[in-house]
Amino acid sequence: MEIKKIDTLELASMIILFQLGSSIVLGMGMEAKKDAWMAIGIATVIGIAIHFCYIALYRAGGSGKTFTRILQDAFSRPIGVIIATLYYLYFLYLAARVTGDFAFFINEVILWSVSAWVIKLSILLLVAYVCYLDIETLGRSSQALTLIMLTFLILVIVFMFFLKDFHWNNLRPILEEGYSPIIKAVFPTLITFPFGEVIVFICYYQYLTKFSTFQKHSWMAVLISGLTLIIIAVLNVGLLTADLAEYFTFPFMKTIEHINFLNFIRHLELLAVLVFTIGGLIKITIFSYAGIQGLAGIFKLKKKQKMIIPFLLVVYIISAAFMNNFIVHLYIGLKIVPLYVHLVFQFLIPMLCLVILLAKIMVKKRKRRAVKT
Amino acid sequence: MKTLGIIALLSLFAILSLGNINRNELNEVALVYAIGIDRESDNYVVSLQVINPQPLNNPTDKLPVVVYDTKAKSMGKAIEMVSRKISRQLSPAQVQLIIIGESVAETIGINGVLNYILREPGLSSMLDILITKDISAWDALKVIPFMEDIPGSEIVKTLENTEVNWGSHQRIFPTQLKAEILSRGKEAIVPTIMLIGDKKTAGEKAILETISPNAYLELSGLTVMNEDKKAGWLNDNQSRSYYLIKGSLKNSYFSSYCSAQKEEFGLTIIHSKTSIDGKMNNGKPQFKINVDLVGDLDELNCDMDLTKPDGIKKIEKLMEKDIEASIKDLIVQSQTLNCDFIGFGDILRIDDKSNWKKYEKIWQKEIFSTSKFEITANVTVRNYGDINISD
Amino acid sequence: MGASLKGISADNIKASLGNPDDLNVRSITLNLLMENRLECSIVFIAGIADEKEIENFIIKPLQQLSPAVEIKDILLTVQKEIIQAKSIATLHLYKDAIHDVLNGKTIVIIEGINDVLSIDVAKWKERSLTEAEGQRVTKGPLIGFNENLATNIAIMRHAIKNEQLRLENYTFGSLTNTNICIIYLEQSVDKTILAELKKRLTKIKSSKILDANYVEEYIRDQFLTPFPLILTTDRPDVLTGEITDGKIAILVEGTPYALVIPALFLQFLQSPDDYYFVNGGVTRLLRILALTLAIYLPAFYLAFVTYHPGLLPFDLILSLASQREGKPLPLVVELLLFMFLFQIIIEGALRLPKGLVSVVSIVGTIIIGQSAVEAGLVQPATLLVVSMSYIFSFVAPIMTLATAVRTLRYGFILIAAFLGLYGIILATLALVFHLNHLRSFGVPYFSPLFPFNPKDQKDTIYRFPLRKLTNKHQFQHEEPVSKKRE
Repeated sequence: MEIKKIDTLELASMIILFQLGSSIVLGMGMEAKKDAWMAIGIATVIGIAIHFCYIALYRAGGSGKTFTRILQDAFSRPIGVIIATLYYLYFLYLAARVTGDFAFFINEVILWSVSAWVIKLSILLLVAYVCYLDIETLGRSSQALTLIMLTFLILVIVFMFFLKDFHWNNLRPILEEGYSPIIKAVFPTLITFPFGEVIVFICYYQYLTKFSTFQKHSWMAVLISGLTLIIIAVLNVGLLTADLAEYFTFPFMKTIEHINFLNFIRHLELLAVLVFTIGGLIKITIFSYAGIQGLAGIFKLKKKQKMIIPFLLVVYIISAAFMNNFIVHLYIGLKIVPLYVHLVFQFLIPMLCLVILLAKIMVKKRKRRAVKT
Repeated sequence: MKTLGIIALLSLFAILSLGNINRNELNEVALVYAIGIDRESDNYVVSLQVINPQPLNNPTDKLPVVVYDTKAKSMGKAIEMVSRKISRQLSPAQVQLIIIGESVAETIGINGVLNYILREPGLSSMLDILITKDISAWDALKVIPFMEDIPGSEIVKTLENTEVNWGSHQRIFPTQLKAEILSRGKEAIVPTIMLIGDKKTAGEKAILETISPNAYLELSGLTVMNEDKKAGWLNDNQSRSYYLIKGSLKNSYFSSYCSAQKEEFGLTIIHSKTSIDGKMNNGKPQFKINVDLVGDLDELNCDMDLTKPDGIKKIEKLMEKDIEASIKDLIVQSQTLNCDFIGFGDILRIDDKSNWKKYEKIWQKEIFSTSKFEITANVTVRNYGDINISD
Repeated sequence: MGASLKGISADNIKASLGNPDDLNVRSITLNLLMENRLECSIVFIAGIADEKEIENFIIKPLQQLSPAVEIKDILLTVQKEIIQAKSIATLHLYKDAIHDVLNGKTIVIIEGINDVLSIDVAKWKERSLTEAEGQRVTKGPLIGFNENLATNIAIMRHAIKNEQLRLENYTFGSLTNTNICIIYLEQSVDKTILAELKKRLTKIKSSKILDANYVEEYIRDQFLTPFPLILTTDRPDVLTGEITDGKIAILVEGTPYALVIPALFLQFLQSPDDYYFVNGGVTRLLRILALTLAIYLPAFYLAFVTYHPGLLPFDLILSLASQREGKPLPLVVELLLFMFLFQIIIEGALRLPKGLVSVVSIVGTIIIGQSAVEAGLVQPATLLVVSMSYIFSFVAPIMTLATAVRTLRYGFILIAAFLGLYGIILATLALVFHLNHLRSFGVPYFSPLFPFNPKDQKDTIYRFPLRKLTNKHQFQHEEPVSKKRE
């Protein structure tokens, strides 16, 4: 039996990388224009709450169980399997989405002439390699990569505040358009992407050595990612002004291009590419690993290795065949998917699940009390 | 894991053959340094200043740059059409300068050009933008440089130099320019370049044989835009006042007259700070402008006794009056052109949010010209140099 | 080999060994009471036994045996009272006798008695102790191990005078019968790792052990990786440091360097120099930087120039573009060609007899430095990058890490040639995952950095003052990889 254990710090760093993954380079919350940072702040708070809800769901299902089992306990065996399969396919679809996002980004920013399928293929090969390795490796590497990512982000952020083009006034007046753009940005887009996607981590809680430590401290990971996104939103608006930042597909890239320290440190777009590659890779891996593990469980395979190539092949096919048009891709991703897909999988079903499980626990407690007396 | 290895190997072959990887050695690439855009009837005339690298140790007679130009209805098309004339693939990666001809700014407006610059992924967004005056961009790119190797480089470095030492021109990047055009509270302003001397001799190598240049490019003034079309021009002094109001003047030299005899004294400015407050009063905007300057006395041709504090105060007062007058002049110019390029609208937007909303749409056309201004300048002379002598 | 029932006699031993010339049999007559005389044979292999000791402490006392006293148990008496050598044992089995003769011991066979005495008077020829060649230090002890196991063990005894020091001997190699010794400190060693090591040692089925590497390959974790998973060192001070840190050292007869397990990545960056200077910490940081640059410099050079000229400062690009004019070969080929050339020169300098080494350096400098550039075949920048990369890789304190770095370099160059900076990023990520996957005897390769152990951070990238360092390492254990994984 393989020992599979990761500790709190490792899982927390996985969460940070996951949430920052594709969100850094896209303009999060720009529908709120200047107040994007406020929108992100509100979404972060909601995100922390969502995180605790998922933890509660895991605990209600009985710690140590796989996601499939939790769903089965809530909904009865056959329905549970069907819902679990739907979830794993949902993760597969999300993995394909992120692959598509990533390929568009690389195509835009550094490799202009390369066909998109090359990028998708190369990143998925790397994901396959990582999936063949075990969960401890994923945990340890996430720690290393979080360190790298946060170092670069801090460097970049420090440089940026010293630019002559950064004006705090660009962020004022606050609430110029009132609250409605902020609310429109938060529901349904921001809370589902990136904060609601942490539902995938329910599949990973079973590997923790000490769940109680994680339960107490993991919300800080969500906070850190939220804060980072807020700072980036502030920088984007401060440097590019809200009117212009809205139009850019990747505003953070443009912001980074402005860094010019002593005429020597320039062209840090490379760092943004590194950051997105790390984040994108981890996000695809986390979705894929959960999906692979889950489907391997459903098909009763002893080792998940056999599932890796078929799973990622389907991811590749979906991303290569259907995600060729960036505009349509963005539209689906930010307008349609959050409303019709994310809300169901991230809120509806888990809420239902939680309620049922809590009810079952209450019933058990009452029965026990009845027995005692 | 073995299957993965095989797949990886196969993908490697696939990528190499079908991946459309565009590799270019440096000697297969034509690096464009500067782009010039003019407008002729319905077409864009795009000129490219392309680097012509000299092989090491074998200097040939080739010039360091070559300028190509083409005409087409759209910018992108024009640039790609240059391939018919050039032996290498154009690479926009190192473009540092874009010169927009007057013809564009006066007719169709610079939005088309600007959008192309922002959209093209290969172009860096740290390039300088200039507008020409009395000359086409094409001619501007063909001027032989005196101190640098590459003509574009001479322009860029002159701009950097001026920004730091004289302050009448500052670099503007495409993102900033576009943001100013989009903004409703401020109009865009672009540094302008002009040719001094004869444009034909300026492009010939023979000019390098004279010690004192008689045809060269000079930065002169700022072009004021209304939305994205040219609305007017500020001269050198007004340009400096503009940057003074914006608070981004670094070092400069201000001079004034001590008395009616027109004797000058001058201050090297080390530090300047401006603050502007705005408010709407019954539909009439009011602004308070406060300018603080710190300088060193650089030249004194008047009869004045500087050992007593009154002397310094007198100089400071004279300077303050001068500055207030020049700022007033600038504002009047802006009101005459009906172009709020200093950004008073933006200030109102922050200071008086609710009122701004009401008047936003008609700000420039009607309200701005009725604004009242209260200007105060504070000059502090810090030092008077190595010697304390006066005539 | 003879069966254990075979009688041990000088003739039998002679016959088994094939009558070698260096096998000496000395016959002595023991004069006993009552005119009893017993024949006694002394068998030894000249050259590996100390003849003086044999003469003085075995032959002389035996010949001077006084017949005055009655002797009941001749063997016991001879063993306890007569022979004056320091180490003596009784043997029953024929194969033990052969084994001992081959190991330099002297066998005393007494007529009529089946058991024999084995006396340890071995004196092996060995190289005198010289400076450690593999790892050199500017300020610190210079001595290095030599090929004799006993000498090396003696050196370690000299360094660690602690009653907790444990030495366990094993013999491997069905044909060579080489001795190895594992050394550890009872109080500090990690018991799980010790048990795992012993388990793996039993699995060694080799016919010969020519070098410690033979042992290393058997006991190493079976990962497919260029990175070293076992530390090798020929310096006793390094070995002392590792043993006192709770690691296990393995000394092999005939090898002048020792193996240390478990070996973690950060150990390969540590040089004894770091501990012998007051501010030794900074050098280590520079070393890490140099090794990173050694891998990345050629790859970045290639990627930037070929795919992303816009990301370099303009003047640099101008100069590189001028250099590039008229060069016939693609940059990848230039780069690989010259890396290959450099590698060959270095190999050649190792293999040539000492007199010709200077020729190699002259030829190398002239051909590469001057002619290739003047012939217009290569860019000066390429040569600069290649030589810088090699120079940076020379700072690795442990040779095996330098080799790994050099291997990786080629991989990065190839990836940069195909996918530019994106390729380099992907390769870096793959490397991060690969390194984190490695385990040395069950301990994650990057402990104590990832997984993060906050108590053990004082000696990782920067060495904190010596008084703050701890010698207690808590290793996190995972399943060790002792058979081939798919």
